[in-house]
Amino acid sequence: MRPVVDPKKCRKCTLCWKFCPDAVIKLVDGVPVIDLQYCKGCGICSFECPAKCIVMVKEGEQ
Amino acid sequence: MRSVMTGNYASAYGAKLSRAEVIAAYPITPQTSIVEKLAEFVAAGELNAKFIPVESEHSAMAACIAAETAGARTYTATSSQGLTLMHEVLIWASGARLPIVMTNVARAMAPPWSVWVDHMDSVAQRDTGWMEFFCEDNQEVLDTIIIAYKVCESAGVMLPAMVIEDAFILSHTSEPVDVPDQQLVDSFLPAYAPELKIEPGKPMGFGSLVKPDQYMEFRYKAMLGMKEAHDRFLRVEQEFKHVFGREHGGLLDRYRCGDAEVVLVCAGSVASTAREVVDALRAKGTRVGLARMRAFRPFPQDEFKELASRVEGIAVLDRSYTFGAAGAMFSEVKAAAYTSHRKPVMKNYIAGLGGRDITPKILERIFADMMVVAKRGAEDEVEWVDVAGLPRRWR
Amino acid sequence: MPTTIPDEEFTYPGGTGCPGCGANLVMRYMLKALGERTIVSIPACCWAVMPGYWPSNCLKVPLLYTAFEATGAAISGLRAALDVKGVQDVTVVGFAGDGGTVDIGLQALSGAAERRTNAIYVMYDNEAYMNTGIQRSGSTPWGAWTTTTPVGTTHGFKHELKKDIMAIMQAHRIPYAATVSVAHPEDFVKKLVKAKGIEGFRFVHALAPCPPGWRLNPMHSVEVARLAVETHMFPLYEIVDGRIKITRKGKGLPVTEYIKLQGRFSHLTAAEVEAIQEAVDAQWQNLLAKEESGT
Repeated sequence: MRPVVDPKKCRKCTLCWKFCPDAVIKLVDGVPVIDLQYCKGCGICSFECPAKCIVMVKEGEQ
Repeated sequence: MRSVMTGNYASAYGAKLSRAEVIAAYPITPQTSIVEKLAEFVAAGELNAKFIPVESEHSAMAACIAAETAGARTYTATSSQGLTLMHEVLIWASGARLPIVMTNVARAMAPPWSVWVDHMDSVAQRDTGWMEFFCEDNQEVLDTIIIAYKVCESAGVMLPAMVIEDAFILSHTSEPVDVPDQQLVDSFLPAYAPELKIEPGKPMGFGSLVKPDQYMEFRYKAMLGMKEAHDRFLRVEQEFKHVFGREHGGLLDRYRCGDAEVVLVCAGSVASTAREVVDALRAKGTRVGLARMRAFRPFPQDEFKELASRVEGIAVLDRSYTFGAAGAMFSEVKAAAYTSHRKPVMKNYIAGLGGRDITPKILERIFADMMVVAKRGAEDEVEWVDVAGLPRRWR
Repeated sequence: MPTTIPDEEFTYPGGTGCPGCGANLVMRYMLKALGERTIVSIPACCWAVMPGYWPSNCLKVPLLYTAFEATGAAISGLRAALDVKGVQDVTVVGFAGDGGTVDIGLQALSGAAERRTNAIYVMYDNEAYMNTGIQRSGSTPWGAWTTTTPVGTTHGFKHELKKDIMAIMQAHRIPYAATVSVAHPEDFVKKLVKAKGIEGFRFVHALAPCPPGWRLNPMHSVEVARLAVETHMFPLYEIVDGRIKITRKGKGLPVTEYIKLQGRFSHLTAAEVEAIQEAVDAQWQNLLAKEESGT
């Protein structure tokens, strides 16, 4: 699984950055940029996001 | 300063003169007066060290490991049950290449309970990567601690060492001991300055996790350290002799072995009795000698090979029993002798366990037996000496 | 929005923790609070493996790996060496799992606390021996499945109560102890910063949800920590000079909210869940009473 971010929905709340166990999320103008090289696909960012702007998709899909 | 003191006090002075910086120790008979004396030195402001009264021997060694990793010269002392409790972390200390020096007061292992001299505790640690020095007298105890720090902390060595006192015979018996000047010791033993230490601002891992394709190289390097320790010890002891005017016979302390037919190998304080017996027998014309195993680790391989090439018979006295085909020291001496072009007759005498006294008479009888065995061969390669119920009389 | 916890990271990505590892968040928040001049001692546990194989290491602070039971002794040795060498302004941290603290590490912990060792001991509690494959520890809660408390055909599970390490630390009369949660990072950081400023022995109990060990969907890792606090399963409080101070009252949600996310409890009957609820309620009342009476 990997996270896909919709920056238009992002409220810049910083929760995704805060709760990422692997510190792979950078905030660029408050919007998450996720390092997919190191992301483990745990889905915490997706679950915790209040704006539901991070969606987990299966690797290999869109 | 010339003084009269016990082996335990000699250890304490050795650690003090070596300027040990962190001392973590747990009390156990008959080591207690070592740490009590050191606590006194610290409380009197005579020794600038942090004294950690840990809650077990395992913690004592674990605390020394951490402190040494942070760049402090550490010291501890223990005995029997405490030493064996430390087994896991003894291996840790040597694997981590930490030059910790420790006094072990060699005492019998329980059960049954015994506080008297026996080498099983020390011999059982021969696989841990620690150097092991068995002392004959209290002067040697003090001197060997200082020498050990210098050898251990050498860049090519970086391995820990235990200096062994026979329980009660050395630990609690007073002998004349020359306590060198602090200034003289400082000139011989510089401050501990490791190449790497754990310190804030320098992210590094000490210990880590390695894969099968990396582990062996660490062990190989440790082996090289122990190998270097052999030669380094001899050089450092000569330096010691130059500065302090005395030495204690290198790794294998040979006495009248030059033209000996039969040699007795032993370790610790019994060697002192054996010297007298050698002299008495020599006076009667019997060509015997004594080879005192001062270092069990690093093992004096070359020295034994050389000895084996010259003598008819080698008797090895093990003051421990470790359940092998024969005593531990015997087995290793025999293996070294096997590499010689000439194979002397060898016999193992298990004696003095749990503080059983090894008298001059017993040693005379061992020599007498060995003289016969050297000519006729041994019926039994291993003989237990002075045990109730066995047919042979030794006293 | 500005971040509510320090920005700087002291862990690199690439550590080998499981996806959603609560222990990862514990280390991350702890180091954000304590900063660069920190030395961490880690015994055998998940975190002994997570920095990766030598020569890689995901931590930006120095790390001493030690034997399993030795954390309390190691931090004592570290601090003694730093003190005798005159190295100042360094936080010494012992960072150990629950097994390495309440079971095999309890002796050394007790010794370090009794000696007033100047260090912070952080126990990250994933409630079992997780590194070795989910075996029960003294910190595993009543009712949980583990590989050594399997359900089988006899409806097995851990029947012993979770050791109360905070009470044990309180009995050692240390200046500061606190529970922290990875779902409450601001509280977490605040407590660690507070601990840093206190001299003597400080203890922090961090709940670290473990997706494989708790049979938890990794994305719920933070949520389950949140629910642990809100259901009073894991209250957030401090013990300051021996006095209990609750730092988050929590809503008092039913424990079922917490339990239903975790497969390790899925075998429990309604009566058993009710027993857990009663026990949690009693413990919560007890904590409130202790806070009230000043003990």
